[in-house]
Amino acid sequence: MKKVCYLLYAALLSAAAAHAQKTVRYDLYVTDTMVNYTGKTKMAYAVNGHIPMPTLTFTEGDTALIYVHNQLKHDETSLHWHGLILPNRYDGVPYLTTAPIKAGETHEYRFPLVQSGTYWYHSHTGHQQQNGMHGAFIIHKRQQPPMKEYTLILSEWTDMHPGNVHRRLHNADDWFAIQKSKLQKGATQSYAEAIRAGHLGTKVTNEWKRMTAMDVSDVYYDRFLTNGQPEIQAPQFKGGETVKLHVINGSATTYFWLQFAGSKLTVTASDGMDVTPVPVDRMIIGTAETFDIEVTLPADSTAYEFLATAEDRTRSTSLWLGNGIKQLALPLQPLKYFEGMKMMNDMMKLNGTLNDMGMNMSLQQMDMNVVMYPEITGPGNKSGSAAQAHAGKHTTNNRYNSNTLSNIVTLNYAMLRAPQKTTLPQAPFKELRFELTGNMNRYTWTINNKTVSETDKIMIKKGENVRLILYNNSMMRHPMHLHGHFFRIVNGQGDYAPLKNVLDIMPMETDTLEFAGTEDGDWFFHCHILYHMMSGMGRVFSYENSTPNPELPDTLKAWKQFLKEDKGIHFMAQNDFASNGNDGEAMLQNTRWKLQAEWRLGYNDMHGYESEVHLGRYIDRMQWLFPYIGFDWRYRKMEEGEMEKNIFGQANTKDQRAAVCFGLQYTLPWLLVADGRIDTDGKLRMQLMREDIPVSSRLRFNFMVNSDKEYMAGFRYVTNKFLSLSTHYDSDMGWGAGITLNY
Amino acid sequence: MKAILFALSIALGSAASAQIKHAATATVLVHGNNEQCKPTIEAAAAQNQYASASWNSANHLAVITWDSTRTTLSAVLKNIALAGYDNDQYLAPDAVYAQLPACCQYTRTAKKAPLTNGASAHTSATASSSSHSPAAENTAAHALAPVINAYLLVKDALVNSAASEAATQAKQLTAALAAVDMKALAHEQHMVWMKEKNSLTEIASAIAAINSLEKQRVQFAALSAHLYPVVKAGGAGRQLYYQHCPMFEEGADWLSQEKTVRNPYYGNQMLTCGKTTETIP
Repeated sequence: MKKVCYLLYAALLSAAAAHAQKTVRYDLYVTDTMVNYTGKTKMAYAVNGHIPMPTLTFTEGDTALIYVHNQLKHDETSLHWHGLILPNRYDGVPYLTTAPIKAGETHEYRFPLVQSGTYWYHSHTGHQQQNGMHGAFIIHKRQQPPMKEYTLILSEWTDMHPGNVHRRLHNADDWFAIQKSKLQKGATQSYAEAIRAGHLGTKVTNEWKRMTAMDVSDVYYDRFLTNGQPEIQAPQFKGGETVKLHVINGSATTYFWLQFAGSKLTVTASDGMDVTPVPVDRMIIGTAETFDIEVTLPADSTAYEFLATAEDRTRSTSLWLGNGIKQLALPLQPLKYFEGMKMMNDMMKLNGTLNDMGMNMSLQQMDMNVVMYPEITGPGNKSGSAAQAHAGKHTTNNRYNSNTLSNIVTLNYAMLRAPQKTTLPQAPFKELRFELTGNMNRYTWTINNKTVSETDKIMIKKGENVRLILYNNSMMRHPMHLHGHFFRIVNGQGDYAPLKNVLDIMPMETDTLEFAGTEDGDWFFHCHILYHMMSGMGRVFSYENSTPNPELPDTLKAWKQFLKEDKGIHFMAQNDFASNGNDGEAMLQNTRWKLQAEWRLGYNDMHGYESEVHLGRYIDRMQWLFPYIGFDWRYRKMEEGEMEKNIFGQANTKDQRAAVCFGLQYTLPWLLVADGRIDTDGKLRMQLMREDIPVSSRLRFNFMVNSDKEYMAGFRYVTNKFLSLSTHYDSDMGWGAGITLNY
Repeated sequence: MKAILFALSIALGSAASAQIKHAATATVLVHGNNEQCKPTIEAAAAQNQYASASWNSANHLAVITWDSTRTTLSAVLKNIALAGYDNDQYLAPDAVYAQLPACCQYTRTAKKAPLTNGASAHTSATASSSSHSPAAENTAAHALAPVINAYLLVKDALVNSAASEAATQAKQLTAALAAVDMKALAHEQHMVWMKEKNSLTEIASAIAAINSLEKQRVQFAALSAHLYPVVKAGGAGRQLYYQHCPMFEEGADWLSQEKTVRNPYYGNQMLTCGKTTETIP
């Protein structure tokens, strides 16, 4: 602790001393640390002994001189200065723009600050951002009238290691939904919950369209944090004072609803750039966005709640402004999940693409999620109410427009207006169309159905303008971030289009961004949801004839290393230790490929032993089509003279088989997996299978039937993230019960 | 004997465990009015399975018991405030307070009045109370101004689906109706006023006496229908909009100060449904 204090002191001292020369120096010491947010002690990363990282404060025109000392035992690290215009080599994306900082090394960043506003900085290595490496980066204007201000950075905490979170997401594990259902009934969206809510038809249609439970966010979090605390006090403010809040969403995956108990929220800047002040009742802040928000404390001796609620509404975090009795903000009521599911059903075509029903959605104005918000569309109720009959009379055009449906004013991008003209220089436009694509089942996130590693850099010329037309054809919203540039959002404000560097784009929206090609080098454009980025949702813009980057002398090797990020291989395994045998599977998979092994091992020769191994590649956009090649081995002792035939009349070789097979799996409506294959002995097999039908929040039903006249059906009850109780009937092995372990 | 004692101690032990373990107790002021507020306050505390409360309507003190290893007094008091009842540590959200039944709308002595130092530009407060307050505007010239003000407050309460607030404002309306100086009205308006006054008073008192939002809205449709000819006959000293909802009771109208539609018949469920049919100068 003493050491930490000393380092902090040193950092502050050096910052102060250097200010006179307009070079502001910070020393940042990255260390491994242990934290305890929930009663369990976990590993995390601290900088100068703190989570989040210290707030770095500058004045426009200063030169930032930042030394990053990597004192981690093993890991590399990096720091990216989010939203800053700076030379490419200091952008801090390891292997793309900047050398990684190896354990024990010190790295120097030195760049002039050519802008002002609220920014932030974070690690761009692995999952470090989520486990502590995020902090505020505030640049004051040179002549700034004095004003009360407060900086807060929002984040989330999970006791599960982020690497495991990522792995589970790729395995379509629904453990996160089960955890959410402990806080909110109905979150698993199982059949039992659907029946209780009067939405059985909705659930059936949803699965018919090959969707699993819908959600507004993928991960369950144990805590949400403001400046590293679930609740934090700022008693220094008095009644009547207006406070400028610098609000930064430093979370890895969470969007937050912001509300204030004392006054409206007056938005004065976004992503560091000023906007014409706009008062609202509430707003959502996307992952990686920043906003300056002015609030006024109406009275003395009262602490007013600034409430940030996670988009999934499981939990929230609060800042109390003022000193005294605590004035609560109105909490957000739980989402009406089945209303959301019904809405998704309407929008989803059977081929897996989305249909906006001619609404031309853009700029967060039509929020389909309003159907789930009780405060906008009324408390959860079944169809047939007067209000819903009324809703039918509304034109499609404002049916989902939050601000016409209620008297609560919610911020959207169309309301942002720059105070000055933001027109681009006269230059030819390069126009690019990006379709944001992906699927939840395998957690594949792409642009134009390609990951970063499946594409080349996009070359742009210095001096030209770039227009990006984004269409979100995936089921999740994405906060798209461009490094090293500001883009203007074409939002109907004409020459006064607002400037941002993060754009939240909701499903089915089309948004147009424009930026001037003024820089040099390689710049990352990616979804800022950490797990989407790591799954490959991005592109790299590269300026033609860039000056060589001294940080990365071996360009090709660095590029290959950079591309490794989305090529990660995810492992899962599961085994049912049952009274009638062992039943299990293991999988290794990446974006397109899957290696899968299944086994059924009886306890005696009569029950038999069998295993199948498949290696295949998902070839279509929705990843429903999976051709594979496999190897099949089985042995089972049969009665003397016993002979089984399959339904095609071919003699079965269950007693002794070792054959190579070729097959094709296809996910049918209602998530039935059809599997047809032929082996080198000419034997055909057709199989239908459905895994993990969510009967209730923790009960799963599985079944399988095939043309070898084999069948299996069973239940599994999830008791915790690794363990389930299970029972099943197998045509070869009979009834059994046991426990299933999964990883 | 020993065995009996032992058995007894087990019995006592299990009886105690049915209650709250590691119990801590505090007596806290929880604002409320009468016996009718008691169940809500105690249920709010008991949302937390490790806590309970017993509220005394005579002195407004709640005895709160909680398991000190599982939860905190603050957490229990927060739940009570979220149910609408101000207490030592927390003030209820304004919207929740507004939804309390009229009999439980205690005087909020714990809540500090807003300072009025011109900072009100952005401070029209939370969502539910963000509608403009007609009373604040200078419209005192016309003899009907207090009636229109009170009427608009009833309307705003219905827009916000706040039944008890609507009842309170309707009571004010009754008073305002009685206080109108008829002599100050022009002849034509005076005649219409004589015709409508009794109906208006009757309906306003009816709204003041009802707690059901739905029934209040039915009455409000009638109230609007009777007030319309009065303002039509000689104005109200300010511009008003006559607005129409095609759905409610096969069509209902209301008067508003704003052109933007804020439907008092459905509130948040269908706020902007309806249209302006007439502008009354």
